[in-house]
Amino acid sequence: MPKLTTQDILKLIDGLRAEGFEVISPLRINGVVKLAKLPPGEAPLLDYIRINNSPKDFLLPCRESLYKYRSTATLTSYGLKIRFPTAEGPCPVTIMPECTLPKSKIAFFGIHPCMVNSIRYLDKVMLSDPADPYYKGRRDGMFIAVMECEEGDDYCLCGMLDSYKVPAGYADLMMRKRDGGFLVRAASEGGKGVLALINKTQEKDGVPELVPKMKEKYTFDSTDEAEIDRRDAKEYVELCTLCAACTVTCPTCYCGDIEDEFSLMDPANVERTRLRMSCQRKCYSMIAGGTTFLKTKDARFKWRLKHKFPFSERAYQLKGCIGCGNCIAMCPARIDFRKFLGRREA
Amino acid sequence: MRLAFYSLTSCEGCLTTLITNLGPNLESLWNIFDIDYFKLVREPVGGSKVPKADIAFVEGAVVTNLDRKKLLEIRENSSFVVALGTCASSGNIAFTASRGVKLKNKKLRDVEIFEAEPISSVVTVDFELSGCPVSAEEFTDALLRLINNIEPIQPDYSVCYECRTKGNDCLLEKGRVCLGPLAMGGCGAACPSVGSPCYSCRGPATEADLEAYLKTLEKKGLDKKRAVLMLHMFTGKKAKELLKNGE
Amino acid sequence: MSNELNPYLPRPANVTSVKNESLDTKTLRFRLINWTAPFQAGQFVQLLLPGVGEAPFCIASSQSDPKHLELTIMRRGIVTTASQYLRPGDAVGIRGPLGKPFPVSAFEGKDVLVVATGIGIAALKSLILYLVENRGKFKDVTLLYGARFPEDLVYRDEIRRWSEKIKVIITLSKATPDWAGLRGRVTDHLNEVELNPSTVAAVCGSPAVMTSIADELVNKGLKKENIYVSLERHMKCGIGKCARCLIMGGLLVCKDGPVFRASEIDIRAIGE
Repeated sequence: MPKLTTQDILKLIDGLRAEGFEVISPLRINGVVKLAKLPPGEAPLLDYIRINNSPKDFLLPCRESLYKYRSTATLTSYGLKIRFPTAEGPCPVTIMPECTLPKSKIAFFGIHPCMVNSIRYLDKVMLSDPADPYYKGRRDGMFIAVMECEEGDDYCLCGMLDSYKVPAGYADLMMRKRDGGFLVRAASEGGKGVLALINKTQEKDGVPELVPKMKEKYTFDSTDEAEIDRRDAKEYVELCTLCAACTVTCPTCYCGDIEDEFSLMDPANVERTRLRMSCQRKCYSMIAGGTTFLKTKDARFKWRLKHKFPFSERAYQLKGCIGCGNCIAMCPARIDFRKFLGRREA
Repeated sequence: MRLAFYSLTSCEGCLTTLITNLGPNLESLWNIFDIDYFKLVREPVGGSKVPKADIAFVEGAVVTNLDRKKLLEIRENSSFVVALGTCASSGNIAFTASRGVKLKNKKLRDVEIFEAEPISSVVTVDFELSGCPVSAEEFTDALLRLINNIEPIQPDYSVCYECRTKGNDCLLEKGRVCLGPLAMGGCGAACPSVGSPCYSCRGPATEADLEAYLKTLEKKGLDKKRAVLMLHMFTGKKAKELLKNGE
Repeated sequence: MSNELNPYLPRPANVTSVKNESLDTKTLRFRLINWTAPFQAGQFVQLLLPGVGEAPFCIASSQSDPKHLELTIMRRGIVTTASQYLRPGDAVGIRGPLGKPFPVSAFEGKDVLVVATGIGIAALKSLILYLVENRGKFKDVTLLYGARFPEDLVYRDEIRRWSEKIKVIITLSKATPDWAGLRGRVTDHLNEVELNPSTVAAVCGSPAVMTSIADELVNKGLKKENIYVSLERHMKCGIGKCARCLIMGGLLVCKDGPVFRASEIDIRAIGE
């Protein structure tokens, strides 16, 4: 197991860039730690606990164009005219959508195992039949260099969800801190190739598993749908302002919205856009006529947890919660679902 | 379809924003619609100061007796009235600033000054488009929806939603009072993104919960009075309504 | 980029005819341009109106004609309002067929009861047409259709034609004095249908009505797994990627539905 210095890491990243990867790593930007595109020559931030965003922001952007089409619409002062009267026979006008699928080679460098698990969850959702071609375009050929985590903060809970374990096939390089440097081992052929670039070879495997220390320990009694419904969430949502920070910063919240966008100038040129949605927002569960299914803060809080636990387990045999604790740490009121679902251990 | 753009007592910033920020859309707006009046740009068509219009956009708060008279005339001559900007929809800074001040002697010839009110206090408003100044994109969207017989909408999320989407750190965490959780989004969290707290210039969010917000401040040991003071600054009449519901 | 690879892309279609069903409801017929939609009764499509948006609708035509689709649309939201202005020749986009259909082969040799209220009949029309067209495969077939006012009744001509092959019961809950037919809710008239433990029922209507009908049918001895309901949610993607149509139990209306067995879901909670 080779030990690398920061200089080696920089060389390694240059090697990845030479292979055409866009390197994304944790960085401190204006005092905020978040994942961002790593500028050439700059070292990634590898000593951190929590990031403000997640790989989701790169795989499922907040706003993305699905396709464009030229409609037959013209704007009149009495509304959009989409009608084309035909003298004889079928109308020659058709809607022909045009789209270019994203094709990128992303390398996540230095993300924690919990975030790797979030990619696994998004894969399950987005690549299940029929696969989402936009997600797939970004996901294919991805390189993941995992920075193993030693210690969590007050809100981390990967220890109790086992999400500090990196699932098989989800890492190319595994890194952990050791005496001012980094112990790096390749976990895939791609990883071995990158290590070879800097003349480091893989030695014998067999490193002990690193279990991050949790500051607070909880046990969940049951995460059944019936159990979540039965529990009283009143005291938890009392302070909720429905700001939706919990779902925005959650690495596995993938709910979306699709809208048509066009300008007054050229209404025939329409862009169909996918945007993010949150179950904490009113329009999430609104159907035609204005009926909203999730009316109260209480219902929305429970809905989020139901989607994370029982619903995901049923549909994908995988928990939607990867234990990063972002929904607690980013909540202005620090609403803690751990206390709602379980008990704190001494 | 005939449109008219009026201005009551205001900085005329909303109409100026439309002129500057609509860009090339302004031209198509001009070509498609019959614009019978546009304060700053076009004199009223047909001699009447308040021409008949299908949709009237009104910026500014009602402050003087002339404003009141004009607004009533606008309502009479327009089928649909849209309050344009925070002044028109909630009274903005003028609402709070004109209260507790002696206004009796403030008379200039035949202009009398009263406590500022949003236009909804005087006439029925069909739709409110808040923002200080109003956003050109939201204006276009609302106009398109209106002419297509679709109910126009404003964002249903708060400023926090956009702020967190941008990956910012929370200002409340840094011990600063920020109205983000209460404020209507749509601005792209312009202020918090540069480290300046939100003053809720777009009015309260559709599901703003003042009670929960004040309790959150209390939990964090932040100044609740300051929050209420900040809320009064831009949110005008709506702050008053929010506080009434909260207590 | 072909549509097979990108399920988000709509395919072109034109409006060929528009039929007024009631004051706020129209049936639009679409011709698919150079493609076919081999669908099965109960499935839905996403209809894209250029510049307005997309909305899901259950197909309301016979599955024997995959080149044409009919959708019955009631004016309620943005797309449904805009669709009222469509005229023959207008260009639209269609995505589908999507969702799971009614398992009609399992209905064969059994009594079939179709219960629809209000515009819910649009979601069941493809099934009714299948039952009428393949009448010999089923034992007794009954349509129980309820609406509020006489002017709310849709498919009047078709119902007349169907009644030659299947039993049709129509009831109005807010009938005017000149209404000669039955009065009251559909649940008041379930007694008029001969039910046996193997009867299969398909139900669509407002959530509260579906709950009460399903309850009543279970009381009358029907098996829960033989009662099918068609649910409505505002699906955005239609392929299970946006989770907007997630319902209790973690089921997606677009992928696991819109047709569900009453045994699969909590029938009392479909209004939540």
